[in-house]
Amino acid sequence: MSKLTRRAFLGGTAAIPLSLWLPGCNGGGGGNGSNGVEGEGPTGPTGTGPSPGALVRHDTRSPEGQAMLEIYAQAVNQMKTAIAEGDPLGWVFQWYTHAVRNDRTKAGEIARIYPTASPDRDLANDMWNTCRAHFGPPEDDFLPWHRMYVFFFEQIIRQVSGNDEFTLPYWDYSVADPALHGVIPPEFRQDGDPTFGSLFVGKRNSGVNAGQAIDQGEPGNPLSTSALGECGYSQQGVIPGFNRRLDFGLHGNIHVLTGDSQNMGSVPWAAGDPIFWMHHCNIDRLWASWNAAGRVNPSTAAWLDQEFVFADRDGNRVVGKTADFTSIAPLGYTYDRLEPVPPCPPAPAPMDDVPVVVQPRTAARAQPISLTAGAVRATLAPPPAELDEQPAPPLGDQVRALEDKRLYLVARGLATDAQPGVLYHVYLGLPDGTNPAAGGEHLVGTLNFFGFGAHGDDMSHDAYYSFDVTDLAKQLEADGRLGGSPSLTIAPVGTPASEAQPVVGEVTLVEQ
Amino acid sequence: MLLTAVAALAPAFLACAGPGATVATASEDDGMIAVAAGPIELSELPSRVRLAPSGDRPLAAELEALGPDRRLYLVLRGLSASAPPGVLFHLYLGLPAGAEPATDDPRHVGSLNFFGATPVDGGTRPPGPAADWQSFEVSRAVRSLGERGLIGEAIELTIRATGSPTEGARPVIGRVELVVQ
Repeated sequence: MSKLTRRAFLGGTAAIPLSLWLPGCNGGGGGNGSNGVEGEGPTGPTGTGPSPGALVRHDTRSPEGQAMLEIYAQAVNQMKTAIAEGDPLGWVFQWYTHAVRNDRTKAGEIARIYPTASPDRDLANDMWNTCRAHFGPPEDDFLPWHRMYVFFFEQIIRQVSGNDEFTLPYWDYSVADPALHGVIPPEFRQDGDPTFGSLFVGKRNSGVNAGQAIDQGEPGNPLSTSALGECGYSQQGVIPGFNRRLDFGLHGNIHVLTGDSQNMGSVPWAAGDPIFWMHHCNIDRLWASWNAAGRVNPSTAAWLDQEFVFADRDGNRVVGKTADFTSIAPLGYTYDRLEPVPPCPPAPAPMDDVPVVVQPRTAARAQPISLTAGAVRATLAPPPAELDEQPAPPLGDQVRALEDKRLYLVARGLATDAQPGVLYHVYLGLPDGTNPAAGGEHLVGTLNFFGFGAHGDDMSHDAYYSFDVTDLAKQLEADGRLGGSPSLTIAPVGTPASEAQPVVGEVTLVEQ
Repeated sequence: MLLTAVAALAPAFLACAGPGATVATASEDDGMIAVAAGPIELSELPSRVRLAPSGDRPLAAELEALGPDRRLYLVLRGLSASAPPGVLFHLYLGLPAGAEPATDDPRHVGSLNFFGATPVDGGTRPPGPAADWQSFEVSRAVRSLGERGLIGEAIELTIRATGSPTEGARPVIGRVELVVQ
């Protein structure tokens, strides 16, 4: 505890950017391996190697995790009983960073705890009630804000415990073993215990502190990690994406099933329960698992440049920027185990890998279609014949002559400066003036720009979408609605990000 | 064989949004094929919600016209509660009235919680994005019902709480949609 006296307040608007703070962030530690864990990497199927000196966060049920819980319990006891609630290293200050208890207000609590101006009061003003996304959109900030929150809290536990190699253990409630599935670790259920009593909270749901699974009797599997199957980070239309599905699904379910409306089950009270941190350590592990499987975080400046205020282990104001928290490796920690992540449907394949015949002369004629916030219409016109070629027969004749062959609409050369965050519906032969939402029979498929890079990237030129439009083209021709130059309509589902500037390089009809 | 190419996209394409445009800008209603207008107040008793087709055709016909690779989402919009209900609400599609589903009933399509959907800071600030909308992919469940002829004009959603919501919580869903993406 002697290290607490080293705390040097920075006043007013002073702050330490993370880039300057990180080199010294582990105090004297940073992981020298004396706990025998330095250099251990995730052992899960999707794990990637840790950074040198990375400290390992363990499962609460492992021997290492149980040892960490003992350190944690002692530190929590100190934070609750020996450190003032207005001190950035105190329990209440850390709890209120997530949200101030709901029978009081932030303004009222600041006035009560800090009757006079002080740097800590300024810091409380900046930090309390900042949980994302409860206290402000965008929803995509849920994961990085909580990664920062857990990261700096872990630093504070190191400081308070005097153990520079402490790592927060995670609560893996989704584990399949029925003896462990949904069961809160025993260290959190020992009321009055001299070692672990600080981790006990009485206001958990009935049966939870008796070791009953929190989802006992619940249909389905509300503790499922199925959010890992999401292929994109952000929502696209009504597809929630990984961040949103994890937040509103598993994450919220754990809160509600663990505690009541003055405990884990309510945003303003949740971080007052010591199990909160093991829950969010696990949420952070799932994000790390998702990334380790190759899933990609947003790349927009709007997301990467977000900054949030926290207190470091010395109680100093520190500003965390999302760009510095998108990967755990630079942060000096890893997990003993990552979760397997289901594969995504195959991305659009490179041209050489699929048997679609596109005549070389087509590529030279590519013209970009710039997608906008509204529907975009284009005309599929016959290709001009080369000098030594006969003009192509009318499109209708070719469609009628398809016989056993299929007709594909191929969109190539997709590129975007940033992810649009929406899907795009593609329509063939949609009559002019028809609302795309009412044009279902003309809908041939959906485009998304996941996996497509910025304009000029090689990747943007060797992958494409292809939609089988045989039946639709035959029907349009039979109805006399195909014509020689049918229309193509591409409409966003929702409002695309303004900075995205998505482009489809070329669209062709191909017989195969 | 190449049949047709876009030969002159730049001059040919046009953006259809704008004043007087007859082709509407995409909205959150795009892809919606069935809807139940709320509000739907939840309680300890099962709530049954009829998702009626948003177009002219019966829902079964609408679904049949969809390609097999289209994804269907149950979208719950406008969640609100005075206080945390303290329970999960389980969502079932095609459950007959009065049925008591087993815990592994295949008609179970998701679990809804209201965490983050209640006011904060002493009730002085509105809830976060959790209250806006939540979605659940129901493609497999809907197709299974369709293949067995259990979807006709509309489809029934049943919402069942596990236990009793906290007294006075008044959990409400503003609107339910079935959306194709």
